[in-house]
Amino acid sequence: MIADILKKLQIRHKLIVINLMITGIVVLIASIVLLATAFISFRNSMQDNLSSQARILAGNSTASLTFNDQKAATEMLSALKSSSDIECAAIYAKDGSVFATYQRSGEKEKLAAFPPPQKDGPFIAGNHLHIFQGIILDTERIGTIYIRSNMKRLISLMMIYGAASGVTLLAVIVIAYVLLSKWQKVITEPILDLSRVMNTVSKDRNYSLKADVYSEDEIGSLAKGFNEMLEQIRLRDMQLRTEIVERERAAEDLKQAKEEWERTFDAIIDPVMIADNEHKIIKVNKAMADKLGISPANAEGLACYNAVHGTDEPPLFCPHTALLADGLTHSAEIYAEHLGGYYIVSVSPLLTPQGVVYGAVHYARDITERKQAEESVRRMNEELEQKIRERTKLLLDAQEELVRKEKLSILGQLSGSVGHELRNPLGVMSNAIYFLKSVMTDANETVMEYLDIIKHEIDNSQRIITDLLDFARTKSPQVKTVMVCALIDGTLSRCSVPENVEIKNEIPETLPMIKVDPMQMRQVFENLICNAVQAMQEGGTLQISARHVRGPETDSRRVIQGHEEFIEISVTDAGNGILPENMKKLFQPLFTTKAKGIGLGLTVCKNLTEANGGRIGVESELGKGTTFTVTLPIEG
Amino acid sequence: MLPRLLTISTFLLAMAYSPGSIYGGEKPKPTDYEVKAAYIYNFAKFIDWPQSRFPDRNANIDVCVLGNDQLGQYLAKIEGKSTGDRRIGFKRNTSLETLRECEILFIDNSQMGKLDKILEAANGSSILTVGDTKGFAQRGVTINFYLENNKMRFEINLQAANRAGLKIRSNLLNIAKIVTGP
Repeated sequence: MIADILKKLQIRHKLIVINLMITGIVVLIASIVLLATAFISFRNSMQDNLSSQARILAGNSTASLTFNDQKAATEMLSALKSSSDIECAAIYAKDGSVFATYQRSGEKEKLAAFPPPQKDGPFIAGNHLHIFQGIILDTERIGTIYIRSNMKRLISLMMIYGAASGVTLLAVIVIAYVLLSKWQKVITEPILDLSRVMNTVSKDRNYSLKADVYSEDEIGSLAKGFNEMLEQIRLRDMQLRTEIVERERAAEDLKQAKEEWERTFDAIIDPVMIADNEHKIIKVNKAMADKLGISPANAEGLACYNAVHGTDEPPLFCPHTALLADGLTHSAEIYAEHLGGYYIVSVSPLLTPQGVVYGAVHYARDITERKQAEESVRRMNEELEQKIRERTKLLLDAQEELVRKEKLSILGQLSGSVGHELRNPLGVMSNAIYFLKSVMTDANETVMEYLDIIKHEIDNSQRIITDLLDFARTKSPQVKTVMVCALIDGTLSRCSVPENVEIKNEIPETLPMIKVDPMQMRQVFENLICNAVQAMQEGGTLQISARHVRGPETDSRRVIQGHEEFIEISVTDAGNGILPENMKKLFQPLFTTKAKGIGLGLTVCKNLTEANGGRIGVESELGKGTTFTVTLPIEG
Repeated sequence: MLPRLLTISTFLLAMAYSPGSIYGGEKPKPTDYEVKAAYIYNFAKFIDWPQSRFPDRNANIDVCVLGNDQLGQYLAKIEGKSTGDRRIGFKRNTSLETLRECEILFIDNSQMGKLDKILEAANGSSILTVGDTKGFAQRGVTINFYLENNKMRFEINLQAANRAGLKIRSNLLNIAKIVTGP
């Protein structure tokens, strides 16, 4: 512990403390020895003294004891008054009874408290020195004398000795301290001086200082050694300073070269990147950094494919990979989203002086504009082709329409004249049949049957002729405001529907009124319903529905320019549907799939609907049925 | 603890009420003659006779009584006791003629009239004369018993002792009353 405390002290104090401790310990030991010796010798002398007193008293008390003269014995004991140490004394008879006593005045002890006689000899007990001494007459022990002495003198002596020792200790320590304070300098002064020089050296870095050499002892050689070291450091320092100046110059040159290189690097307009063998970016120029949108410093260490393509591994076309494989220059045309366009990337290897590839320079030339030009040319070409296609189609349609119109025109003229020419004979034949039936009321059934057949066929022919005439002479519509349901109901009443066909009329009565020629429209719906019924030879449900639609919701095919609200009327059969290849030809004149028909029905429907400002469309699914939809505008 | 305390207090009580004292004991008080006989024996311890008084080193110290022989029976009891190298002897039927053979001569009260003759007879023979009659010491008896406060004391005539060539130790002189004469 003391060693720990000492460690923290200065040498000066260490020396003083150690010396003072040693001095103190020596003085302390000397004092203790002295005290112990004094104590023992004084105690021995006290004992001797008391023993001789006891022996004298014993000798003198023989007679009084023998002759039982207590008074004399007491008187004799009272002579002990002269010894101030003796507190009490007693003479015991042979049988142990107290014969005579002495008690120093002021002693409180009672007679009864005298101890019974014990073995002869002195002993110390309870701060007192006791002695028992046998009283011998001739050879016979006739009694015992007891004397008790206090040890106040011994104690006070010890205290005096102790005080003297303390004072001596103090004096010795003070003197030692004074002397040590003066003499320790012999040892500490050179050390402190050395320490001061060391501090100055370490603070000012002045290695030209010298420590004074005071003596030829260890401290002297320490100072000498220190001076030699200083000298060496000074020389080394000078050398270092020269080296530092040279290095700084070299570093400055290097820095300038580097800056120049970097300026050049950054001055290149095209993005340039240097990457190592692990695809890690070593450096990018300003153009590259700007393109990537990061600072050149941040780009360092990134994987080049990550920075440029945003992928976790190199792309298949990566020229860097190719270069690492064969060590040759490569280039690739790439689209890099991070760089914002198309580039031709050339990579050329970077070689160590030993010719080993340690990376590559990527030089990217922006070909985005060229690419964009190419792209726009391509797009223009496409647009042009599209336009040509569209125009061709229009032409084809127009041609088709023209053909149709031509057909219609010829057909119109032909059917007009044929119809006109056939109408009158048919009327005559019809009248003739009527006549025959009315005069031959008793004719047999077969005759009647055949007459009916003729009549039926004449009707058919008349209808065909009517169609032909309708077709040939489309009259301008006589527009009236009508209700859709009334229009459809009127149509249905004129149609003959077989029993196996069920009509489902779902026209709501709340629909707005439309402005059409009711005669013409009724003919349209009659045709559609007759077609539907004929499509369902094996029976089924014929559904007629209508709805009110607004412009934007309407199927674009059926939109009629200039109108926003329409009525859509659909006629749906449950027949076998129409073959896709026939769909196109449906509305062409003279196209029919029916055995008895000339293929003008739907043509007439289309013409009439369009004449009333509407459109007609068809949807069909094989095996399920066909829906014809007539769209008519609602007038403002 | 309690039983032990009880024992001690019982013992102390017994001590306090017992007759006599711890010094005395239960013996009957000795008669004057018994005391005198013991004293006479003890005198021998404090008195030195001249060497020429004894024929050899181990010769007895003979005690004789002149007169009433009441003391004799007690003296007989101390016969044979030793003092130093010697023993106490007791001689009976001592007469004026034979008293010179004695070392210690007790002179009874009854010999008051013949005292001067007896002392003359003893003169020059280093005899320790002992009496128990008032005035004997002044008349030349070396040691004379007397009672003081009912306690046996004795007086010594140093001149007589010196005449007889007896050396009495200071111890003895210290506790005795010193008388002079004749």
